[in-house]
Amino acid sequence: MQEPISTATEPPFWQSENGLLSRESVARILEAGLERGGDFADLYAEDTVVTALTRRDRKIRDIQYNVQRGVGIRVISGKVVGYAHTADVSQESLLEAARTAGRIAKGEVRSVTVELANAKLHALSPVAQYPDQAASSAKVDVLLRTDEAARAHHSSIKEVSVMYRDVVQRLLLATSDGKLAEDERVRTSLFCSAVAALGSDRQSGSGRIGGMKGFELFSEISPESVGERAAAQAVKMLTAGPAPSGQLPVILTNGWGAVLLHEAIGHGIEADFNRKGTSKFSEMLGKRVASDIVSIHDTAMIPNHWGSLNVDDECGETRETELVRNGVLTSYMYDRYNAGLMGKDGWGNSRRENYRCVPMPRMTNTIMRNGPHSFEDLVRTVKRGFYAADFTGGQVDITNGQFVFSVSEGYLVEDGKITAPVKGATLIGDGADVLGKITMVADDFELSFGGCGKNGQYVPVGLGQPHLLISSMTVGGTKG
Amino acid sequence: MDYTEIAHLAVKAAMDAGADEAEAYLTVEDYLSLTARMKEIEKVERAGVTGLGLKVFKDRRKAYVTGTGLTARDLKVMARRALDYAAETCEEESNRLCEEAVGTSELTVFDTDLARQDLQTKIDLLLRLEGAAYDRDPRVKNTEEADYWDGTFEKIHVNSRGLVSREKKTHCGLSLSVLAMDGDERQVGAQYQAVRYFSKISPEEVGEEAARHALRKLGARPVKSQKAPVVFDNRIGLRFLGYLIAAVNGERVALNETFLAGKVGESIAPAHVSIVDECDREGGYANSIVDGEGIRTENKNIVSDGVLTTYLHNLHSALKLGALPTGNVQRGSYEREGALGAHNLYLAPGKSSREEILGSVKSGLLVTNLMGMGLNIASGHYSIGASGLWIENGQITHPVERVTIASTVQAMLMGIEEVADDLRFWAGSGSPTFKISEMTISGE
Repeated sequence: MQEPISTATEPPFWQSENGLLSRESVARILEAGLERGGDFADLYAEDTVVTALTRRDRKIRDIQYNVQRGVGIRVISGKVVGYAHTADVSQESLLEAARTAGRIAKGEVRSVTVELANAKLHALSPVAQYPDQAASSAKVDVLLRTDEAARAHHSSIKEVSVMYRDVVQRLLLATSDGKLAEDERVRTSLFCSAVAALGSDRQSGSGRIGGMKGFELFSEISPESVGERAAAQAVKMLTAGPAPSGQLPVILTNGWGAVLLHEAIGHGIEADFNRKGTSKFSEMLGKRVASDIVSIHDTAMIPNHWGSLNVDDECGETRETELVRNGVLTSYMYDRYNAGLMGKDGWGNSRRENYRCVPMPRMTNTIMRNGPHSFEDLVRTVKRGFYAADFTGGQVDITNGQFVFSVSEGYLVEDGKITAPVKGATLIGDGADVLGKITMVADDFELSFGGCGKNGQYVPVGLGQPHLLISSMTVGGTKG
Repeated sequence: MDYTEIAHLAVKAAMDAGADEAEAYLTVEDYLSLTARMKEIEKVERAGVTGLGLKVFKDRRKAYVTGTGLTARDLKVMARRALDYAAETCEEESNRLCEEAVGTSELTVFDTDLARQDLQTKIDLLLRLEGAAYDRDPRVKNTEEADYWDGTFEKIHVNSRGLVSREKKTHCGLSLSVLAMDGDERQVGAQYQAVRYFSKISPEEVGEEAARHALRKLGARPVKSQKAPVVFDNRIGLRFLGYLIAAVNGERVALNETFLAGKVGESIAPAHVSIVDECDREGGYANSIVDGEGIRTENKNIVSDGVLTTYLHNLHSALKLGALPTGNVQRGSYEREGALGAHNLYLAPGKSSREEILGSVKSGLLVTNLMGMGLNIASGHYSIGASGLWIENGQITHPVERVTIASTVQAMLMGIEEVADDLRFWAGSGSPTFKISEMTISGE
């Protein structure tokens, strides 16, 4: 792996202010958190800079620059979690926050000693060009190129909106059992939406790219391709007829189609729901949850990918976790708190949106690897079905396993061929039932990325899969 | 710390750095949240967040910069950075303060009683909340989460034209989601309450209702794919109003990105349908005096007797379309510039009772929950996951899940056949139960 060739412009606040969050002072803060008898304490310090530019109506409409600096301190006593956070990062204020979090333990004040050593940290995602060092004019140019490519694609394109966003996040994490880690997460992304109009009909399309990387993203994938993708989708949907309604065989696209894995099973096997016994997948370890050609992994280890992590948000070592092997559920995804209560000693899926948030078990990059078939093989077997080529997103009800995803680009499959485009529709199903109906897996694995919300916390996640054939699923169009 | 003074200093820093006009928006937030489960406290969270957003205008260009550092030096750095960024944006007529964004206003909705409640009182509320659900039926067997939260939210908005607008509100609330179990089947029921005054909190009601929702889903199954009338429960009707609000957003209308573009003055629903946006409703959760651009808010009908009467405009969309700003820029945390939205929004109640509406359905679906995104705002096409209760000859026969309902929002609006008198508010906005004559239901 190559060494990063540049570093971010401004050091995080704990480096620029003398001794603040030094190893010793962090240890003192954790000790203050534990002085009333808590079992465990951790600290999460964050210095994040977000730069976002929006182009609409052929103009750079918005530039936003947000700085987020603060520290969250958690104390766990038995089953109870105390959490406090502050943006006032003086040592006194941090000690006070630690004591506030520690108040959940009711003991007499005692003296504890915390000693810290560096935690294991991967170096998965080197950054070639830090986005905070790219000139604003270069970002403006990316927006312009995307916009113009979308408009040039077809005369029916009437409106184009483009959003550029980069996030440079520096973290300092420490746990009272002696781990300390400093990490950096740099994410750069571009999103385009285009509206095509024909008579009174309007359709929209979208395209996006992103990675755990810097401004080099745009030398790897051109901004033009993002604009063209958005425009092409909008134009295709202009001629789309109504989507079918009812039970049909469904082919899910590669890449972003893995929203299926994320919703149909991913959330349901996050440890918190299973500790509480509220998931449809509770008590299902070792049991069949999918057809025997289905294997699913969650991996934080894909270099430069959106959901990859060098270390999790509780200093846990990140890794690849096998979740489903040949249709059998082999593991849940753990954070430290739930692993502790469930008698597990490994985790690596602990994440939080920012320093204001208590960590939870979350997915990183959830993937299904290649099968033996070509995409054409899948299509050939379908007499009458639905091809879901793009989605806007999904949602799941953990308790009964019911999930949906919203298709933004769909096609009919007739007599072994992909034929007419049809308008978006929602697909709905039951997790284990639908995974059990995966009958063919193609050999064209692709990665994709998105954002995931849970209990009000939003984190970046990766996804990936080849094309899949589901023998039957409910398609929610309007045409019987 | 005098936050109004800091906001003024931020504006001054921007003007000193060369801005033509500037605006500072400072928010001060304090909160407590408690989580319990199975009668045990699992989490206690306390925090305060204070931050400032600085908007600068220079040569009809603008930028928005935020931070949590509020020293004189921090404000200077922000001001300089904002002006640097503004130079990168495009000239736009609307990159300025509104002429009307002047004057002083103060809105205080503050519960002094809330500050007097100790932690144990709040923990007891959570225990009562969960207890009420379990008392209702032995099949209520598990809890996802029981939450209590409270806090204060203060905003200070000043600009270089002399606007000084202050708002301070307390809030508190409860939410519960419980599981009803029968054999292998689990169904969740959730309920929440968000209010401004501690005395209004009613744990027993919220707990019982969460249980009732979980219980009535037991035995749910899909129905056959068909076209049928769909009744939106007053729990879920607000989601439908949300689509309308997204579609009347002036920013989208100006770019022809919504299916309601060009429809003001036209009938988009039957004459018995009116949709109201109120900013000074008696006890309204979302009351306000001045919006996120410093414009005085006003009450309005968005749909009046079936006719679309107005879009929601900020200064930018108003100038684009030759209209006036409507005072609808909603702004919470300092971290964002604010977006167009409604205040206390509701579908005006009709005359029929809920029972009469259900009784009029020969064969159709009462929707109590929706899943997914559903709406294509450009075309109005709509398809979404739904669950609820099946109605046959006016009687509820069985719970339904794993179906989708689909149509276009245009057809759904025109198809609002009846509106009930059971208007119910959820933290500001609300809807009565209403019936749509026909949608496509996809199931088995």
